[in-house]
Amino acid sequence: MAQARGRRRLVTLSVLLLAALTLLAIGGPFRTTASKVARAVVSPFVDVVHGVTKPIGESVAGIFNYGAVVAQNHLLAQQLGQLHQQEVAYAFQLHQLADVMALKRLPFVGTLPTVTAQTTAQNLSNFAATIEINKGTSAGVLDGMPVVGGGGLVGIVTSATSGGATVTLLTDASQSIGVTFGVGGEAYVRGQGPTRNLSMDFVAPGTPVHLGEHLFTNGLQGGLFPAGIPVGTVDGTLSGTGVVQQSISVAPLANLSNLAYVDVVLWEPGA
Amino acid sequence: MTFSRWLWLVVVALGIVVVQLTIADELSISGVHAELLWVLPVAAGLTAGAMAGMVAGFVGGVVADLFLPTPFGLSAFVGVLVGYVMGRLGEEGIGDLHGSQWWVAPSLGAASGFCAPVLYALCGAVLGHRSYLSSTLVVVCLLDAAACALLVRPVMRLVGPLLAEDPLRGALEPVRGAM
Repeated sequence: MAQARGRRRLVTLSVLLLAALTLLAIGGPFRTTASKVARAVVSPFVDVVHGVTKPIGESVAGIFNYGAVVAQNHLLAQQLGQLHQQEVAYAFQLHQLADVMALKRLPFVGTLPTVTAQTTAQNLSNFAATIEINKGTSAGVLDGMPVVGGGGLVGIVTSATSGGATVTLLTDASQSIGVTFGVGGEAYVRGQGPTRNLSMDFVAPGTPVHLGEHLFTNGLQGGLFPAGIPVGTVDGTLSGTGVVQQSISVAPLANLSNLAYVDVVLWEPGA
Repeated sequence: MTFSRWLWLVVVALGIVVVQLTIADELSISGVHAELLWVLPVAAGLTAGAMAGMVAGFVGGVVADLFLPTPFGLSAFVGVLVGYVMGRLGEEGIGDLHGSQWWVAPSLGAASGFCAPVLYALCGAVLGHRSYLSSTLVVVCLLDAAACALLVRPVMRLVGPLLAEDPLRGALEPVRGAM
């Protein structure tokens, strides 16, 4: 009896492990449909629980951070005034830049249409840097479109359904972005995981790279992003003797931990 | 396992997802949060044996993977293994709600919660996601261990009657009787 039970247990273990491996290998199409159904089932319950827990959480956070919120409000008001001032000058420069980029046949993000989307979930997994947004194919959002917000590039749309999309953040280990820096410098930055800075590759030793220097997408032909999207700032450099490239850390410009709203740039790779 | 028990496990797994999305995801430390998906195979295994533990791990993993951007099936794979190990211990009477000391089940939950993300990251690395093996994994392990330790007894109380053939006798009685 006990032997038969043991055998049954091992058979079940093997079957379930095999089923999991099968899902890993060919579960993609099933996941898309099942995920949609599961989200539809869970969504009302999440909304109800959120409706109860969110105000409580925000009230508690507000009590403990009241001083900081007021100070931040003053700072934001001051920054808003400065930005209004800069806006006028910027509009003229943008027009000139767009003309130059058009001459070079490079797409420029300032001239491209965008769709504003609300972030519905952030970093659902500890192992992948993603956000979920509430705009999908019905709003023109497609796989591969860049997403900006919070001061710079946020990531790229990696999965879009009619009512929403998954955006893989630029810090995810799967991301690699062509950037330009300084005077004509070209390199790649790649994500290293949700909680780590970006790493800049292919910068030869001796190439001048300065701390705080801004990096922008280079928009080269075949690139995944249009030109001119701010990506990050150089956070640290390390160049030893005998190395083939510098070790450069880049901090994303966008505040990736606070993305309530983002803009999806309606631009497809290779466009 | 009858169809109704599979269905109950799906319902409980969806309930855990709701708690994950509304509460656990909001409580992050160093950018990571506790993952509640390991609680189900641990609780089912300890309370109803290896078969129930494995099935709970598979169902819970698949349901969780529907909401995650990581490889589909990876959580189910790890969940099955966790459910099997916890189930074997449960069949020996270790961690039983009534027969064991109160701290045994939480301790086993903490151990499982700590080991499961490591196993998950290792399997992910084998599949080509080497970034899963980062320094933040330690924080994930500690958070998961704490979550499992806290929740394992309430979830055992919840799934025990659902998985038992005879709720009055308890889920493990037929198994223990055969040993």
